[in-house]
Amino acid sequence: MRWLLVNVKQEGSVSFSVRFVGFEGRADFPQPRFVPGQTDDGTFRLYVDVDSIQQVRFNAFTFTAYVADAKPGGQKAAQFQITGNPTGSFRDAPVRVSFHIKDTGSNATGVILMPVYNATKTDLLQVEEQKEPAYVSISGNSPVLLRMGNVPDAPGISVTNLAVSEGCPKCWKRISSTVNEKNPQNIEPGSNATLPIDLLPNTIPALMQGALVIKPDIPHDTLTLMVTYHTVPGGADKKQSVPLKIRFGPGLLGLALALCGGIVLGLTARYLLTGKLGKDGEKAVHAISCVRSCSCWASSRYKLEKNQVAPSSNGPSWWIATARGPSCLFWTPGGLCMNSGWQRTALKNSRVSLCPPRSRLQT
Amino acid sequence: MTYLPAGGQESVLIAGTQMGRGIVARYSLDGRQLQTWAFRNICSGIDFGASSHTAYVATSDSNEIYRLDLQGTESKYVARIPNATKLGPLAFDEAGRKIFIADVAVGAIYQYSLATKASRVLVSNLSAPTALSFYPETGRLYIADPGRRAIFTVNTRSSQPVLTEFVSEPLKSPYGMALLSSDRMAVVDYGANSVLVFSSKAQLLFSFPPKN
Repeated sequence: MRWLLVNVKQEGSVSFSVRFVGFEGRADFPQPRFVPGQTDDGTFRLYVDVDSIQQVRFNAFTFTAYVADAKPGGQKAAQFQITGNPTGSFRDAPVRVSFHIKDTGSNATGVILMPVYNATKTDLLQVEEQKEPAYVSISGNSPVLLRMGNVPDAPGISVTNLAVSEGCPKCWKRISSTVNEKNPQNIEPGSNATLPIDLLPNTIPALMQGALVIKPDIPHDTLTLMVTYHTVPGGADKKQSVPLKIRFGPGLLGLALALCGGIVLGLTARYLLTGKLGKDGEKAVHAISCVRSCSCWASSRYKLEKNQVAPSSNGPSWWIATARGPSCLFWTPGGLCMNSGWQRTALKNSRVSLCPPRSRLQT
Repeated sequence: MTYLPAGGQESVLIAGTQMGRGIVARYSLDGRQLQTWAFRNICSGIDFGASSHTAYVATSDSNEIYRLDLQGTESKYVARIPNATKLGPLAFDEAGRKIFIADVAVGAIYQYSLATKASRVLVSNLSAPTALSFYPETGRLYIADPGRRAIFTVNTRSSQPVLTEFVSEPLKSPYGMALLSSDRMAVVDYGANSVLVFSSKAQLLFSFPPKN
C-alpha cells in the first residue's frame, strides 16, 4: 500500500510512510473507531483506527490502518503502521487523502477522509478579546465565563485543563474550574463554548489592590489562564495562554462613601429622634456638620462613574461627586471635609484638615 | 536533551526551537541558562561525548549534523544525511567516532562515520523512532519507537546489524529512555504518564508513579 503526499489547504503538506505489519484475523471494523475508505473499483476497503493515533516527538503522528477485501465474508485484513510527517503551518484538519493498493495483478486507488495533525500550529482556540475587565466581588465567589470558539471545517476540540497564574497572588483565596481530563469541555467545529471559572478573592488584599488603581478601564489584576486542549480524535496536547482582566468591586472609595452616608443617616436619625446630637453643652460642631451633610446628601446629585470613581480624577486629591445643592461632601487623602455653594468643583493637590477656605479650592 | 558535566558544572543541553529558529541551550541543574547556540534550522536530537568534550546536534528540516563549540557560541557544519526525510534523535559513539541519527518520518536509523565522512542506513522497518541511547560498553544502540510501542536494540559492531525487540509490554507510547547503569534502563511512557525501569533482561523492576 502507498499513500500520497497530501496538501492541507495550501498551508502545508503531509507525507506518509507505510510499514506492513502482517495479517490479522478480523472482519469487523465498527465506527466511529474505524474510519472507512474504499478503492474506486470497489475491490478493497481501508480502515483507519482512530484509537491508535499517536502524536510523537519531532512533529509526527502514527496510526494503524487495515486493508480488507470489500466483498463480504473476508476473515482477515492486512495491518499497516502509517507515520504522517507534516510540514508547513496548517492546523489539524480532516482532509481527503489518496491511497494506492497494489495486489497481485491489480492496482487500485481510493480516497479516505481522515484527520491529519501538525504540532507546530498552536493557538487553535478562538478567544474574544476582553473589551473591559470582568467585575469580581470582593465579598464572595464570582463566576466568570471564558468564551472560546472553534473554526468550521476543523476537528472538534476538547479542553482538558485550566491552570491559572495571578498577577497579584495574595489577592486570591481560590481560583478553580470544573474542567479537567475526566470532565473535558468539548467545542464542536464552528461553535462556541463557555469555560466556567470560579473566582474567590482575598477580601482585604483585593480591596487594597483596587484602591490603588482607580481608572475604570485599568484592571486591578490580570489572570493568565493556561488552557490545555487537543483536537479530537488523537490530537497533540497544546497550551494556549489567555489573559483575563479583573476589576475588584466595590472599590475602597465606594465603601468609604457608603460609610460616610451611614454616619450621616445615623446622626440625622438621632437628631430627629432626640433633638440633639452630642452631649449637653457641647459645641454644635457635630450638629452643624450633620445638618449640612444631610442637606448635601439630600440635594446633591451624584454622578458616579463605574466603580464609583470619577474618570476625571487626577493628583492626590479626588472628587467623587458633582454637587448642585447647597453643600457637598468631599473625600481627600487629607480627610473628610465639606463645603457648599459651588458646582462641579475639583479639589486638586490640597490636603484639607476640616473645611478649607474657598480660596484653596479651584472652581 | 543530554547531560553535560563540563567545566566543573553539571548541566544539560536542550535542542529545540525558539521563534521558529533552531536553538541549543545549556542549563545548569538549578535552571539557569548558561549558553546558547543559534541555528537557522530546527534542532532535534543532541548528544555529548565526555572524553572529547564534544556535542553534536541534528536538524530536522535540513537533515544536517553540526558540532557545537562548548567554549563559545559557534557551531560547525559536519554533514548532511542524503535521502533522509526528518532527522530526530541522535546518539554519539565516541570511541567508534560514529553518530547515529533516527529518521522519524521514514522509520530508519542512519549511521554517520566521522572518520570516513560517509553515512548509511543502519536499520529500518521502524515506525517513528523518537529516542536513541548508545551504550558504549557493549556497542548496543537502544531505540524507542512509540509507533511500534516498543524499545528495540541493535548491535552496532555487527557487520550485519539486526533490529531486535528489547521490551514491548506494558509500554503504550515510549517517548524517551536513559541507561541508568549496565543493568537498568528507564523508559518514559507518554501514553501511560509514567516512567518504567527495566533490568537488562527486560524485566520490569518498578514504575513511577507506582500503580497502587
